[in-house]
Parts: sequence; C-alpha cells; structure tokens
Amino acid sequence: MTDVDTTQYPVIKAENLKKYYPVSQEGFLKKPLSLKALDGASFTLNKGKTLAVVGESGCGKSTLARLITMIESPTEGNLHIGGINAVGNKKDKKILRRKVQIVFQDPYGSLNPRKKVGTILEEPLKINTDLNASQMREKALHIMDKVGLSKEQYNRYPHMFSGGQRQRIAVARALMLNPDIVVADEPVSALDVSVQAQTLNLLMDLQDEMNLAYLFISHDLSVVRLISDDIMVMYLGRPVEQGDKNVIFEKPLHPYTMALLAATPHVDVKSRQKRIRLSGELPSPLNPPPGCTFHRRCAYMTDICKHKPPHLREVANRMISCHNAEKLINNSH
Amino acid sequence: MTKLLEIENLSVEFDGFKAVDGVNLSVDEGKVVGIVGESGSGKSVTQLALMGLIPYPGIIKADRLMFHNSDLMALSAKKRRSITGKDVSMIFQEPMTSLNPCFTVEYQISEALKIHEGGTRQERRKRVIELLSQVGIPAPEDRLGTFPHQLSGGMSQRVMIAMAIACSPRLLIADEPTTALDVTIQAQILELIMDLQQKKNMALVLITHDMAVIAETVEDVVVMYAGQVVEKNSSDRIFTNPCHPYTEALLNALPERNINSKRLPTIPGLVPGKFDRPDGCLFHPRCKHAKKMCKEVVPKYSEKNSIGVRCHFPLINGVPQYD
Repeated sequence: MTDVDTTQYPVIKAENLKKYYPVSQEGFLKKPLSLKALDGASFTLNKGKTLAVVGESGCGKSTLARLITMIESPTEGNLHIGGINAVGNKKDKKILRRKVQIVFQDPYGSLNPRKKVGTILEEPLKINTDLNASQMREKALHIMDKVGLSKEQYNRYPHMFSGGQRQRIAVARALMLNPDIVVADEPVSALDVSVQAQTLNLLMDLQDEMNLAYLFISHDLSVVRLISDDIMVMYLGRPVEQGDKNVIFEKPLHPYTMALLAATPHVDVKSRQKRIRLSGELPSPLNPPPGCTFHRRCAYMTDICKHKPPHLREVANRMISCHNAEKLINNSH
Repeated sequence: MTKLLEIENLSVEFDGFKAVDGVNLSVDEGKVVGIVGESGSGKSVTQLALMGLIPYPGIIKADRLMFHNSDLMALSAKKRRSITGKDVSMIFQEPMTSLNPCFTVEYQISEALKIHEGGTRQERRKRVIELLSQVGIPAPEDRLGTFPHQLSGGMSQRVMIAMAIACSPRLLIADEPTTALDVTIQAQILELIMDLQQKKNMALVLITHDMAVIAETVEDVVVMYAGQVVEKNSSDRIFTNPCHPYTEALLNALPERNINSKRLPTIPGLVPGKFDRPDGCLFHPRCKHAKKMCKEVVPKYSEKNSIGVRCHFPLINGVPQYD
C-alpha cells in the first residue's frame, strides 16, 4: 500500500463509474449485448456524511453498491476510497475492503441461519485480523452493546430474533472492522414503522459516534429526507439530479425527481403535492430510448429530448441532466 | 346505506395463539375502509378468515360474520365458495409469488370466470381481454399467452387486480397491494384500484402497513395492534387527532413528521408474541400514558360518535382523559 495520509481525502471519490454486463443473445454467432446497469456516476462522499441514492428498481442503485464495496469492479471509471485507487491493485483492494462494509436489505436473508450471532460477528475479524479468540469475543460483545443487543444474545441463532434485531446484528457485523464507509442497501424497507424508527435512530447515533460515512440506498423519500446530507437521484443507470438534500427537496428540477416526490404518499395534507402522473414503466436498460432516457415518460418533453442525450451540468446549485432545467426553474411547481 | 359486511367479535386461534382477538368490522356498500397495523397485528388474518382461507390448525370463532344477508359461519362449504371469488374477492400481497408460474395469464384469469359465470371459451377470452384493458395493460390481446415471469411487478399486480375484479365483486379486499412496488408504480396501482372502486361501486378494504397510503386513499381507518382493533376513526380525524396512544405513537415515529430532527421518537419494546401477552391492555407495557388500571383491567372496545377505541383513557387532542 502506498503511503498516503487518508484523512485529507474524501472517503469516496467516484468519477464516471460504469458497469456493463454482457447479455448473450439468441443465435449462435450473434454478439452479446451489453446491459448498461450503471452508466456514468460521479460523486464524492466525505467523512461523517450521508449520500442517499434514490430511484426505482432497476436504476442501478444496487450495482453502484456492488462497485463501492468492491464486490465487482467497474467497466470504466475511477474509484478512490480514502485517496487510494480501488480499481486494480489486489493488495490495495484487500486493505480497502475493510474500510467499506455493507448492510443488506433483507435481514432474514442476509444472516446465516446455521451460525450463532457471535460466530457471524467474529467472521470478519477471523479473515482480516490476527486477534485471538478471547479478543475477538470481547470486540464482538463491545459492538453488540453499541447496537443495543445484550450479552446473552451472543450465543443465539438468527431465527430467535425479530426483524429489527436482525437488522441490528447486520449493522453490528458491518461495524466489526471499524469501517469508514457503510453502504446501506435499503436497510429499513423491510421493517415496520416503529422498528424502522429505532433502526434509523441507531444508524444516526452510530454515525455521530464513529464518524461513519453512509452510502444510503433507498426508495423511500421520507427516510432519505431524514437521514441524508446529499442525494443522488438515478434513472436507468444514470444520475439525473444530484446535490444538497435541502436544495433538491425544496425545489426539484428534474421532471423525474418531481414525479418521484409527488408520487410519495404523505400523511399530512399540507405536505401533499399534486400527483404528476408517470405513464408507463422503466424502459429496458438493454434497449434504452434514444436521446434522454426519460423522455417517453416526461411531461415536459421537447423535441431535443428525443434525439440528444442530456449531460450532467450545474443549474441552481445542483447537478442535473435535463435539457429543460432552466425553463423548469420558473415553473410554479 | 346497507351494510355489506358485518363482523362481530371475530377471533382466530392458532394452537392457542390468538392471531385475531375480538375484532369488529363493518363495511357499507360502496365504501372504502383501510386497515393499518404492523406485521403480526392480524390485519391479513382477519380478511383470510372472511375468505375462508385459514389453514388447518386455525380455529375461527365469531358472534356474527355476515356478508350481504348470508351468514358465512352457517353456510355449507359449497355455498360459501360460490360467494368467495365472486362477490368477495381479494388482491394478494407480492404479485410475483401469488400468480402461478406454470399457467398463462389468460388461463389464470379465466379460471375464476369459468367457475362462477360459465359461458363459452370465446366469451371468456373476450372478457379476459376486456379485463386486461380495464386494468391498463397495453395490447391485451398479445398478453393473453404470457407467463407471470415475463411480466414486471407492476404488470403482475395489474393481472392480479384483473383476476380479482373478473366477476364484478361487491367487496374487494386488497391486502398490501403496493408493498412490493416502486413509488411511481404504487401511485399508478392505487389510482387504478380507486378508479375501479368508483366505477363499479365496489366496497373496498385496503390493508396496508403504510400510514401515508391510507391517508391518501381511504375514508375510514381501522388500526390494529396484536390482533385487536384499537381504534376506528375517519381518516380526517385519525391523522390529526388520534384517540389511541398506539396510533399516536405510530404517527409520531414517521420520518415524515420529523424531517429536521436528529432522532425519531420510537415505541419501546416489541409487539407481544404467543408467550408474553400481558394482562390488561395489550399495549400498556409500551404506552407512555399507561396507569395502574391499564395493567389490570382489559379495556373494552367502545364506539361513540362513529369513533371506536379500545383504551381506558382515550386521547383528546393528544391528552389522555384520566377522569
């Protein structure tokens, strides 16, 4: 590992990340198509901050998570974690993998039912450190205490826990190696309202305490509004609008962001917005529409949208990829 | 207004565990009722009991279980089957798993038609095409032969809805119809369901755990906790002036109401399970307004001015009324 002072760099700096998957076609000699799961995402994430990635299923959120956690490597683009190049050198990667941990969506599927909580928590230590058994146990108990699990639960199996507690175990597992970054892939969407509140509180407390950076993937905009600092809205593999949470929530400019915000149901009448009807569904990423990928569902579509793909540019304190962004500023939405 | 569905004191027991405990519910013709509650609160089981879909160890008891002048408890199984699926039908959660992967869309929709309405195969096919276009599936003729795995989540849910409305039911039960879907698709599906409800003048029971969905769609709300109905109220009042402390606590825990705070208010503890059902009020260990009486005496469900609540000290403007 090169000697770099990691504190002065943003914990994640991603530039134009792309991930294409080959999809074989019917027919013997036909060339495989490439599915553009992620098609150019750039962002920086600083220590102790939260970046929320929002979008419908199939927009590339989870692919982004897999790239950041180095489960897969990008087809193109640069990824620096704590100032170190995370693409390429195997040795660097191994060290960086400790810095990035992940919490999965479904706490029923992400814990091995045959292992006790203690074993689950100690596994990352076994692989990455040379602590002895009692040190590992001590560390596991310490983290369990942090996430609000009691000592007696060390020897229990996952099936003995409720959904909320399982998610706590998953969070504890992610924290075992003192990471800088936790990628949370829809961590609360499988939970009930009251348990969701507890889990969100836990995540926010841990962030303050350990100065963690979160990459928070979610489709629930009310949760995102609560927990994030910056947000990135994605559509069909591309970020369409990204910037500070307050800027975007107060005045979304991209028609897709507007539609997402308007489609989110609200309990309080005053926070409800007029529904913007999005017709149709997400187009296939194998065969995206020409021009702006959103134009077929967009209410503000103009001729240029059909031919020319828009690029991310800065408009009104945010990055946005829409030809009509300037016009939409004055739109009384 | 005629009562379409009347449930009085319904209980469902599985091996000694009361999944549903003394539930009262009535639905008028053409009305929309929402049921909210966390997982395990018995909202789905109540409706499954109504449909006669409770599996083996489950025991259903009720003082009254009436659907449009027929007593569902007294009917023979055959008679009952002629009602369920025709006059009462249900949209299930998770469209991807509720459809049978082995059969085409046409087969699955026309199955209900064949049993309840008969007719020739051509007539049924025509009706299936009509239904598919009603639920907003483009080019329905081409979709007849598709299998569920070829459809997206939103499309499968539309097929489920087509199946449910095939025999023009008077009561439609939608059990978490949008939980597995994205927000934009959720909005489309809810709009479709409400639209069909209006057009066909069906009564609708919408079951969900999402308070916001309830707030935007229904007129009357029933809140369930641990198998009991704890509050019944109109949706205008329940979100501004909840009467039961559980409803209040649930609403307070929503991220939407705490946008600028660093902590969400939570409800301590867990929903009671089989072995830790408390005496007295089931909610008292988690209730911040609980008094000694709540620990000892089981509160009765009482209805006044069309507000029903199961609490010794119901809240008025957020303040419990200790006499």
